[in-house]
Parts: sequence; structure tokens; C-alpha cells
Amino acid sequence: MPSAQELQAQANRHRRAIVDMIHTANAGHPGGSLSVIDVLTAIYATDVDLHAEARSRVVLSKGHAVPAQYAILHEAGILSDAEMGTLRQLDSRLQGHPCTHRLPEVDATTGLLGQGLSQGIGMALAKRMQGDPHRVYVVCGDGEMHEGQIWEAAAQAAQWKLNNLICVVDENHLSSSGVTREVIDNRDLAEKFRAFGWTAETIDGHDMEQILAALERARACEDGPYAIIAETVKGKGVSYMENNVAYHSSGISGELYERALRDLDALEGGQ
Amino acid sequence: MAMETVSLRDYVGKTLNALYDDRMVVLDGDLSGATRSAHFQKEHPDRFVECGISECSAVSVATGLAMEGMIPFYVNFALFCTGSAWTQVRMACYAGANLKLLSTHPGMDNGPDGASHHACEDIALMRPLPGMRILIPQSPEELREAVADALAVPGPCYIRVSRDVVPVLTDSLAAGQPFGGAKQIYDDGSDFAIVYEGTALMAAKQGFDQLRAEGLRGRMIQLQTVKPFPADALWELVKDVRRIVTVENHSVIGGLAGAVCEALAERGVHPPVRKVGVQDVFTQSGPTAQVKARYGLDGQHVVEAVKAP
Repeated sequence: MPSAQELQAQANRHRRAIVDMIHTANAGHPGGSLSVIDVLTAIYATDVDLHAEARSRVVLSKGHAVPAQYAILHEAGILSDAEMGTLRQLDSRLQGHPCTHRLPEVDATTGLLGQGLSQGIGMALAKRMQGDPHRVYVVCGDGEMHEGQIWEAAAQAAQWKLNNLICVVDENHLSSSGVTREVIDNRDLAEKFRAFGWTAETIDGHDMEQILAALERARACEDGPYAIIAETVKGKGVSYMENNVAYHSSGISGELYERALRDLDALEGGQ
Repeated sequence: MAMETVSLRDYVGKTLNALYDDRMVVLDGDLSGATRSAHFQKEHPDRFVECGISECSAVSVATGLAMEGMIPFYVNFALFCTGSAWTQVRMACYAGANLKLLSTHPGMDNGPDGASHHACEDIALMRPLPGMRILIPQSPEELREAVADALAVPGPCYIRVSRDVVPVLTDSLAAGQPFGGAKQIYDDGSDFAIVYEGTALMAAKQGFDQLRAEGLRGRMIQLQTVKPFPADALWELVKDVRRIVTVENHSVIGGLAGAVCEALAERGVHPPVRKVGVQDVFTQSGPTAQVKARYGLDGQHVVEAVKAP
């Protein structure tokens, strides 16, 4: 098991890959990819062997953050260096949102917000029916918590006592148009999940020690599904993108790309 | 002489039981009594998932089950399978998921519930989805073949099953033929062709019988598969008739009539098409037979469409 420090360095390498991909494509969702990458890196590193036949699954329900997933698949050797330059291009496996028929390793076809938690529940049910001990991780955004289907799914997962399901909410506090709380206030997400019958906790989603500890507790929980509300900063690691709604969906070009690289170089593991 | 009739929904759970294999999962939307999936629940409680009144999530849960190698059947009313969860079905198709939708209560089959529940748009909603197959049986035997077909062919599939009664045909020319495509049920001649889907069998049969009694000689053709559309097979059966009348328990927009006309338009010169079904209006509550008669789906409307100048 890599140390928290090693994982943080790995996540920061992924940040560089995310920025490079979106720079080359001149389109994508950098803010949410950079906010979720620490949690996503930890999930894959601790419980997902991408080269195993039977394995735990990761549903990226906030599918617009897929550059984060591609960065991880690249480091795992599933995507080539050349492919990393094809994000959002015709005939690429790197679609603008995860697509299993082009790239099965993304585990779920997502992009329409609100649907991934339900898909993850179906996968978790299947694993239980098949006697497969692996888990299903679903990663959502906080804007996505506005979707009614999320709460249909939350009720179902608790009803069916899915011990093998972990939902992480990347709560970066910004949705597409502004401050999530001002668009529609989610209030206390951990309390909401608890009210639906889940075990839930809130952590700092950029503190790798806290992320690893929360994932450990989630995996050990035998009392139904587990939610981790990861409080994050949208655009984390690139100073001018942090907490800036303009970088929900945006290319990264010219001088801004150079500035992003300088910021990332200064991070642990950046280069 | 009164004709024997059957409601196919009574065979839904029994058919799933008869064809059970260990990849199957049946998902319900709190309507297992009405759809008769309860028969499956009784036999296979560990493979029955009660999703509650949460159609969107249920379809995505079914998609997740499919992605892990199970064969989920989401059994619900036609409107709830398709319209209530359309983007979820669409994403399942995009993923190529092995998702099966099995609906009862199509069209105006539950007259008393009224327009809110009448599924007159479900075929139109499913037809444009890439990869989606649409199968419409008209007898318990055909339902069994349709479910077997859904199990055998990977990918999304929609099976539309009557809740109202349909006649039991004892003299069909298609008896014994494998299910699928366009099937000639009766062939008296080329005066007309009634092209219908299985849940509209009652209106099609009553219309055909009356026309036959009046001395007109035509054909009755069932579209067992609406998608992929059996364009060549249908053309061979209708190319020499004087008039085609489509009959569907559905809006005349986007469903069977739409599919038939899209296919015929490619042929250049073809027989004219008249459309029997719901004429772009919302229906209302009433006894089922009366609702169907009011909104265009009975033998009389078929006769008039065939004879209209």
C-alpha cells in the first residue's frame, strides 16, 4: 500500500495529465476533474486492480470529470501516451464523458447527472447475487445532488443494505452556473444520507490521510451503504482556477496553460 | 359465436418463470400485482427486486445489473417503462446494456385510469433509440418466444404486452412460424391490407371479419417486430394491395404508422396508407372498450378506414 505522501504525489501527476489533456483538446471540465482527483486516486490505488478480471468498480457519476479517470487509466497502462492527446476527438476512446462501449475500463457509461448512483447500486446488487466480494464506488458531484434520482437511489441502497457500495460526493461547492448553495442549497449532505439510512461522514477531500482513513472505515462498515462527503476546492492545484466557476467547463490555452504548469510544478510530485 | 380471448399480462410472471435462467433479475415498480410479475417474485424471491415508485432509478439499477452480466427485466406499465425513465433507457442503449423492458397496460388498455396513464407514445419513444429492439406478441406462445428472443439476443429490448383482452386466433396462417418480423395472419386477396401490432389485435380482427362478411378480400398482417423494422418482408406482403390501413393501440404519430410510412416512402410508388389509432389527442377515462371506440381503435374505425374514398 503506497503511503499518503506517495498517493498525493501520484494525484498531482494526474493533475498535470488533466491540464495537458484539456489544453490539447481546448475543451473539457478542469475544475471538477482537479477537485475529485485526490479521492479518485485513493480509491483506485487502494481497492481497484484495473488489470484483474474480477475487481471493484468505479462509477464516475459526475462524468464530466472524466479527464481525472483517464489520467488514472493512463498511469495504469490502459491508455497510451498518444491517446492522451485525443480527448474529445472523433474516433477516440476518450469521449467527453465515460463510455463503456469504447473504453470498458471506465466501468459505467455516464454523463447525464443523477444516474450513476443507481447504476452503481445495480452493480453492487449483481456482485452480491454472484457472490463476488468486490465493491462498487460511485463518485458524484455536489451539484449532482440536486437530481431527484440520487435520492431514489439513496433510499434503495439503504433498503437493500448494500454493504459493498460506497458513494463519495465531491463537494466542491460550485456547480455549472455558480455557488451550489445559492443555486439550490443541499444543506448538510452527510445528514441527508444518514436520514436515508446510510452511514455518512464529512472529510477534507484534499487531505490524503483523511481520505485513506475514511475509505478504510467505509470498507469496514457492515451496516449498509456508506457515504463520504469530501469537501474540496474546485480547480484545486491551479491557483487561478480555484473556486472559480469559469473553469467548470473551459479550455486551457496560451499563457493560462503556462501558469497552470507553474502552479502544478510547485506541488508535491509535480514536475 | 363469442370468440375466446386472453389478456397477455396474465402470462408475464409465468413466462419469466418458465424461461428462468440464473442470470435473470426482475425489477418491479410497486405494481407486481398488476403486471403479474408477482408470479416470478413468488418463485424466485432472491431474483426479484422491488424498486418502489422510482422508475428512473429502477432503470439505471437494471442497467448496472446488466453491466455486471445479469439479464434484468424491468416490468412495469408501458408509460413508466419508457416515458418516466426515458433518458435512463437512452443511456442504457448508449452503453449497449443488456436491458429488457417488459411492459403491460399499453395504449388505452386501462381505460378507466384515463389519459394520464394511457401509453400512446411508448413505441414512438423507443423507436429512435439506437440498438433498441421492439417486440410485440399477441398470444401467450408469442410472449414466450419474445422473452426467449430477448434472452438470446444481447442488448436492449422492449416487449409490449396487452392488459386488455385480445382474441385467441385458431386459424392464423402464421401458426407454427417462428416469432419475429412481419407475419401474414389472413390472406383473402388484395383489396386491402390491415397492418397492426399485437395489442391492437381486437380492433384489427373485428374490422377484418366485418370486411370479410361484406365481401371485401384483404389481408391481415401483424408486425411482431417493430424494430428492427421488417421493411422487405412487409413490402412483399403489401406491394400489390389497393390500400394499407395501420392499426395501433398508440398515437398515429411515431409508432406503427410512422414506421410503416417511413419504410414505404423509400419504395416510391406504393399503396396509400390510412392510420387507425389515437389521432394526436389526449384521451379520457371510461370503460376500456368505450375509450378505444371513442379514440379511434375499434373494428368500425378499421372498416371505415378501408372503405373511405
